[in-house]
Amino acid sequence: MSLQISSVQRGPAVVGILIALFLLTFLVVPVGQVIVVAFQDPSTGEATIINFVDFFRNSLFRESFFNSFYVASMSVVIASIISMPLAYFTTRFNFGGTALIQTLGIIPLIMPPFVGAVAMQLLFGSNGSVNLLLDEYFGFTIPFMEGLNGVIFVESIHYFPFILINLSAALSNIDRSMEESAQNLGANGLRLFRRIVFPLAMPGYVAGAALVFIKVFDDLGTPLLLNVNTMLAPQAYLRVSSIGISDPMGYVISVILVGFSLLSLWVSLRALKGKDYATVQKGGGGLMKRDLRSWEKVGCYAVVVLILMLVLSPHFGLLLLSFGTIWSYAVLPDAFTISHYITVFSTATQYITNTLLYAGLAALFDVILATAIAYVVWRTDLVGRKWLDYGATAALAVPGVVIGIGYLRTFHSVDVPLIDQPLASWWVIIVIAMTIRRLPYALRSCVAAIQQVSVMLEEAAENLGATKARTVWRIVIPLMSGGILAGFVTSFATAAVELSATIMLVAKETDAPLAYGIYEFMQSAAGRGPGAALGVIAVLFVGIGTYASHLIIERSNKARESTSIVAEET
Amino acid sequence: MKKFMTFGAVAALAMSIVSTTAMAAEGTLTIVTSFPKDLTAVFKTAFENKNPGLTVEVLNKKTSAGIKYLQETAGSNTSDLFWASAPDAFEVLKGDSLLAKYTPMAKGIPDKVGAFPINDPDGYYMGFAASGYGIMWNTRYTKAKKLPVAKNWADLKDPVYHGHVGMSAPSRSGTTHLTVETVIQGLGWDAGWAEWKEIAGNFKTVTERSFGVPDGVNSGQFGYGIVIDFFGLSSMGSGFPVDFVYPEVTTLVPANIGIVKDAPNASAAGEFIEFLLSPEGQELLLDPKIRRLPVNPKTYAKAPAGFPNPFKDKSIGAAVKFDLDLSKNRYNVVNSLFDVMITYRMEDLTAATKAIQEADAAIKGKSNPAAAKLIAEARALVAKVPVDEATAGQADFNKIFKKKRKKATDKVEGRQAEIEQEWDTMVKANYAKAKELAEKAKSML
Amino acid sequence: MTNAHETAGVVIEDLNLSFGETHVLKGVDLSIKQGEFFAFLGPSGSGKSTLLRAIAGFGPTPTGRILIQGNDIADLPPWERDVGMVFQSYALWPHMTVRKNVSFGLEERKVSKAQINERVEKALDMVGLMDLADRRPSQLSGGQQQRIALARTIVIEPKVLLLDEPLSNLDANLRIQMRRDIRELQQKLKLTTIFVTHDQEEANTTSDRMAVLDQGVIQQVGAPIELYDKPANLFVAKFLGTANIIKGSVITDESSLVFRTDRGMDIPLNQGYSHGRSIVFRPQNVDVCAAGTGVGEAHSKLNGKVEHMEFLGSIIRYGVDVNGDIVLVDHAHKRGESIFQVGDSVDLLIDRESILVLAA
Repeated sequence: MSLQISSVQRGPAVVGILIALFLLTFLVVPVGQVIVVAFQDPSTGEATIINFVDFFRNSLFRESFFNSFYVASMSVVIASIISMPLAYFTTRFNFGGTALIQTLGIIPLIMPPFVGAVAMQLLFGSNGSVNLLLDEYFGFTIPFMEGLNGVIFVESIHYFPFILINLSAALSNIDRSMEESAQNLGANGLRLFRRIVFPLAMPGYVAGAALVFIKVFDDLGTPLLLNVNTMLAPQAYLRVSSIGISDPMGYVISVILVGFSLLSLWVSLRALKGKDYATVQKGGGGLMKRDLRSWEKVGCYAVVVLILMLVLSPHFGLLLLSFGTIWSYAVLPDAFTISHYITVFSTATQYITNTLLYAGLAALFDVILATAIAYVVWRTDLVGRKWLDYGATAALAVPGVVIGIGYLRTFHSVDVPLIDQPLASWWVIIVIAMTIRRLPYALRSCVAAIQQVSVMLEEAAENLGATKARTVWRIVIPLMSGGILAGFVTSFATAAVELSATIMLVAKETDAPLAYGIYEFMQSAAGRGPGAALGVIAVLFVGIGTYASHLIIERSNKARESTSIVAEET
Repeated sequence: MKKFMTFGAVAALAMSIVSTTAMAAEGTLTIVTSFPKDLTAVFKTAFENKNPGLTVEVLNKKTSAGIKYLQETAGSNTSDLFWASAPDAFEVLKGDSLLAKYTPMAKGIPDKVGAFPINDPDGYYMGFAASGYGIMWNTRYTKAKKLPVAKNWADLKDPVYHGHVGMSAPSRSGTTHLTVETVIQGLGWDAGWAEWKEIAGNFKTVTERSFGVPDGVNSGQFGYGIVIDFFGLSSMGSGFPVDFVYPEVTTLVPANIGIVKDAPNASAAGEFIEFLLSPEGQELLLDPKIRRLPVNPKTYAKAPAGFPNPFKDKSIGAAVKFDLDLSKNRYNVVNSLFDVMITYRMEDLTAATKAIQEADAAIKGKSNPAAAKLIAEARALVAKVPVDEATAGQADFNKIFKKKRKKATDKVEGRQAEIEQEWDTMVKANYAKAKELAEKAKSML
Repeated sequence: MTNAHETAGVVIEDLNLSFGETHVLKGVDLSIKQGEFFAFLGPSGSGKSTLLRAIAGFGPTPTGRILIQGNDIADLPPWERDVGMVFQSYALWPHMTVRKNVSFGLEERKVSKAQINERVEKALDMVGLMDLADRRPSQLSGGQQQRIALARTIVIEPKVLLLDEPLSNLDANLRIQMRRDIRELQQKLKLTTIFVTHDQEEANTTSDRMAVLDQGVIQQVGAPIELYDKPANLFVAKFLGTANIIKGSVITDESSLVFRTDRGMDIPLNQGYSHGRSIVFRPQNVDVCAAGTGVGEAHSKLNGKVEHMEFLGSIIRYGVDVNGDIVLVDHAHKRGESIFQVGDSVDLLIDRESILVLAA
């Protein structure tokens, strides 16, 4: 393949190279550094696996490893248990509460787990609201939040929507005739489920489960706020923050985390590959639904309501905490006040303004990068352009903790000109970390958007005299605007509550964003209230962002349906 | 028009990036501190109000992280002040020549509080507040569970407190380190560790940060916490249903501040120290969110009723004369020992302790020498420390526990991970055996 | 698979079925003989698939009776009915091999492993796809998938075979071949078969008898030729082939029977009708010739002007304006014969035997 680049391609080629440089500098090199250091002898610098040997010889680390694995697996199990009845109700019955269940699927995702963790502790802890009531009336308590259970509990409630959505989609994509033909041949009930329905729904389920596993495995914020340190991510953080960036163990843990992330991603992709079991035939897709008898209806609603209460408990607890005065060894706070909100708005506004700045910049960079990558990959035939996509998407496999450690290591000796500060402690590095971490999502959004813009529209513009750059600016980007905007909003909303990388990179309190502010506040007795108030604000950010993104996509879809000009070609 | 707006947007962006950072250049005071926001915010606001045009920049780091930070940035130092509780942290920095001498002009500060000198005799760091250690408890919790008040460390060994006590680890908290070291110095190496282990046998949890203890007590997660006094006092000040007491074996240790060598804004740094030591600054310490013991005795006139006064009440902190050098020499070893023997083996320890307590209860009033012997053996196994005091104090031995290994020859002594693994194996086995023996004793009764 | 297997006759009595508020099957009565190849024919929305699925037990529960071999199965769930169904989309399970797909029903019936293997082989052999046994459905062509679906159903030796538009997803050539194969198979097995289609040609060429449905009501049941030649109502007449329909009324004289069209033309009829609202006759039963030709007793004569003419290869189709009504005439095209042009005045001779009078 010749490396000659025609004049037409020159522009995109430059763009491509710039993007590649960005990805290299801020993703490949730091992560590479981390991996290299993990395999280096700390005193001599030669290649060795001694650090890994030390790691596995140390019982604390072995325990952390096992715990992380255990917590992630159990979270998948509990999340599945919560999801299954819900998926079953919506796909098997004509259930009136379907819209309710769909809302259930969104509520947890607007609160990052660590934000609700403290509130959950107050509600479900060994002397929390629920257990106080249980003990008083029934004489027993349930160790919801003891040790690892707490992490599992909080994470499951937060992440079960991933499984619910995937499972429901998988079930409703099953062609009804699959089921009917099995029934016609004599199968029914459990046998039918086991032989036909379950195998056909498996790929979708596995994809969702793998995603949940890795997100829990990598999560730093929740264990940290629940004071559970014998897990991999918190250990990495603790080692680096109390012993320094020269400690090899932090790097070893990073390598393990990245390795598992890649593994899970691979499993998830493999599960969905080539197993598109969805076909559509008359009679409708999806399993046969039947009506509910009235006692069954009651049962279904009871289960849904119970799960709803569970799902809303962190939000509820957070709200209580933000308005409560003192909450100690009691079912509810002693009294209520708005003083915490006043505290936040009078002394802690920098968290909010920082977040707006950082997340805004990160989202902006994300959509610029994503649009550029989408264009280069899908509209040009430059050599090696696919690697831009892979590179950007690879960020999915890098946990926040690892980015943090990588940046500290790589950039602490790099001074930024003009301001004479190491790059690693300049606030812009936080923006860059957010950008890199959210890029895969923005990219997916932009790729989907560009695939819906027919090439002929660009060709028509070029035919009439517009250069590539002008065409992109005047035609492609406006037509992609729905996807771009949605990508921006999603990037913003999730960057606003990013903690894992942030907590490692924040050097000064004045540079701290929301998530860090919440963490800081939760570290002092009088800070619980304001911390919760900040948490509520964070949830509002994400909630509004998610809703806005949803609206934008709906609106752009509607607009697309009404224009007949855009041909469905890729 | 579009172009203009785009250009304007880009320019604004560029300016904001530069300006946010450019603002840091002049009239800034950078403080590296382990104190929480509750404390720093109060002083920051007050000091900034006194000095308009000056911005106080707070870098919040745990004590050990703060030391590390100053060591790493020593070459191009950007910090003005180091502000933390533990005097031994300051000793470390002093030893590394990272502090600058300063003589405060403030008047009215005595030489000692309790048995402890307030300022560094060499003049590298000054005390601005004093703290002691004690026991904090949640009154609702104790009332609901009908538990008695614990007044002394020894009280916490009582079986009735099993599973109700929380503490942080010395490796994670400078203040906790001092608490542990105080008891060990007060009772002696072996007896001190034995005491800690028996108390730890009643632990519910070892928290990650020292704040985790008062937090747990405040929210009612566990009933009793071993804390530094201002945690207890400030929680009470914030309205939580908790109470606090100083045990007999405690020491009052000053919290300190020192100017970092080659500070960019040394003059402002000095002024801040003066502010801290002024009557106005000292009064700030009485804020309900802070509640630390001022070093200026006159300030206590303004304190609320019941506020402890070490200058009047000589019993506080008099029992132990804290030896800073001793503490410094075995700093890392003590950290590791506590972690290996207690923090990471908490379940084994509490299980063994429970078995011993049950055996004790069973043998009460009866005469059974064989059983009694087993119980004593079990106790000894639990109390055993894998390192003796002399070795623990050796400089070379301590060097192993510095995570940064500078020389290849360090390996000869055994890597840290290796030694800790040895201890862990021994300790785990001991606890298991102790449990076994205790259970056996119980079955004999 | 032996030929001696007994298949059943199907009797449907007063079947009514509604989807929610919509009444979809209205009072269906039907009797299908044992071993018959029976077609349900109708336009989309006529309820033919619904009726078929109701026999299999899918969809809302109907009222009425469905008797197979004399036993009412209307209350039985699908898995207990023993009626094999081939779905329009074939519904082969993608996660199983061909062999596993075909053995499914036998496994549900707890047939022994050895027996299963034997019967599966026979069934695959019967559809000619033995060597594809270990492939996955995604690796098969449309025609192959269809045959596997068939094999899967016949292997269980059901009492009745139901086929829901099995050929509609195949291309034209394959369709013709497949319908012959299916017919052949059915004959061999003497399996009572119900075949749903919207394609008349399929129904005509394969079925012994068929039922035409419109809007949930059975219009007529009978052999294809019977329905074609003697449609019971306008719908059947129009649905099957092309028909000329003229509205009017029957006028009885003492000696003759005449159909007076609404536009005032009189068309002599054969005996046997006393009343009616329309007459129906097929284009191929009308002869066209130059105006002024004489007519005998066997024909009724009409006169008109050629309004349009279409050359359809083997026939010439004329549309002749007769007093305001357009009559379609199909004239077999023979080389050399003259063709009437638009505007020509022509005589139409209708075979009187073939004129049907319908009540509506």
